Amino acid sequence: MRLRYYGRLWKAYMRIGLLTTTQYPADTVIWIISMLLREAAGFVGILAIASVMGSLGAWSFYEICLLFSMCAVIEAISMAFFDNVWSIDSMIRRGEMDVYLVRPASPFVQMVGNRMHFQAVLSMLVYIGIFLWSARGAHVPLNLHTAFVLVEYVICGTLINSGIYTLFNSLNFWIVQGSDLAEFVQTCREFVKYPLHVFPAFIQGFFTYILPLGFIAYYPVLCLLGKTDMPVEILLPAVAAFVAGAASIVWRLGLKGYNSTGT
Amino acid sequence: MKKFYYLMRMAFMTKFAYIKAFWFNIFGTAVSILIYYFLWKYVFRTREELNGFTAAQMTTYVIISRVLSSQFSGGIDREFSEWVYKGNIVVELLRPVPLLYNLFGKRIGEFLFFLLFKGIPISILATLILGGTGPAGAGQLLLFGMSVLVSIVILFWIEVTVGLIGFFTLNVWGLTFTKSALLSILSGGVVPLFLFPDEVAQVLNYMPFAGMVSVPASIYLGKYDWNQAVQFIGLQIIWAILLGLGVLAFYRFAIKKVVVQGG
Repeated sequence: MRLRYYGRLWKAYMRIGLLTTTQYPADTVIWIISMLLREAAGFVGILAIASVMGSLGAWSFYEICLLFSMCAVIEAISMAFFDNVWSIDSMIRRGEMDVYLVRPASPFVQMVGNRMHFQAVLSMLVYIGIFLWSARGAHVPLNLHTAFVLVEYVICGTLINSGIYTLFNSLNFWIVQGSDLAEFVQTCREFVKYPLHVFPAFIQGFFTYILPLGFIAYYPVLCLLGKTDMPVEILLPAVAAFVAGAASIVWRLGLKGYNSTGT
Repeated sequence: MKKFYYLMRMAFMTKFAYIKAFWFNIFGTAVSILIYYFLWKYVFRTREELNGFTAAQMTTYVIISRVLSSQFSGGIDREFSEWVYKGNIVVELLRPVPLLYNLFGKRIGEFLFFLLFKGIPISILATLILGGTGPAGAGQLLLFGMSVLVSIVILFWIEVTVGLIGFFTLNVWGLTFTKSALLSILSGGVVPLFLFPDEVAQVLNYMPFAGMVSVPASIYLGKYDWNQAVQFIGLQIIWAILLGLGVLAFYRFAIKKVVVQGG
């Protein structure tokens, strides 16, 4: 019953999001271009560097493209459906969180449903194209294992990525600089778009154990290419559950202590 | 001149009031320096030099290019467009100083703040810690400074253009991301321009974008001889004038539209 209710609610939010996208076509085009270019800057950098060497250590040109495209797909999903966590900051300051609290549905669902970016889905198609092309070039085996890892990866990767954004943006409940911190975390995320092994051990460790962003692309790619003995298939859901759990706790605690601005 | 000084001071003080937020901005630039530093370090493990760049020179290039291109995400374009949404533009147009003069004063104030709190300290610290090279000579340092100064004028015109386009599209957010991503690629802010295909690199060298990162960095490293350096700075000045004339025409046209809309 409850689930069906949320299903209907989500559908209604998606409809609104889609209407917004089609209402302003020029806006949508700018959005898509800006999103593609944002990824392109990093992509140009790594491609230029990789072409100097022919490869980056044990990583071929195609494998680097694979890593980049997978990272971009996850970011696009987060942007399409969970982008509104970046507004927590302004919602708290303007006291807009009150609206969600008096309605019968979960505040989190209402918040992320409130703004969707279907433009991101369109830019995702480009990344999926790059992914397919580079997967072929990198000789990713076409079998059940690959399919399983990919499905698991899309779900868990999104949970980890959006979970970390939610967690850091939820800090806005307590501190004023919350969104600056979250943006800084997003900047640090740039590291994991590149093969982590080129960085010193402490950076690798940081993105594996402390801020597990390595799992949104690097380790799954290793697993797909058969380059690691790590049980990534098991680690992915474990890390995702951990991050999602932590984010959910922080969000709930913040909401509990939330006082309206009183204006 | 006194007016200009006060405008500059005002922007500087405003930035200064938000110095805490600026810390994260500085960390963000430091992170992007580190990423490219490690990537290039990895490349230079197997070679001595690349197109005349030694490892230390490449480190310096990374530092200068990342610091200079970190300016692309700031600027006056967002504020300028916001004036239109909120209707403040009416007040701004009524002020006794011309609108663009006002904006330019603000931009220079912001630049001085950038220089004092980010540009100079980060460059020196990063060069010392990561082991980059200093300027090729006192003359080169002087020309480098001149080149950066001219580049601010070019950047200002580009920001005004972005702000003006924002008048029509109502999506400055996407536009500013497009701007900063495009500028960092085209100016050599991501990787040195010589890594692009030859024809592309040749064209980009003479575009106004190169003047913002590639030209000053190359002068600093002594890649251009005295004659070349002076010629490139001359070219920058020509671009600054040409862009200025174009933008002024566009500005006259756009501002009329705004007045028609009623602010």
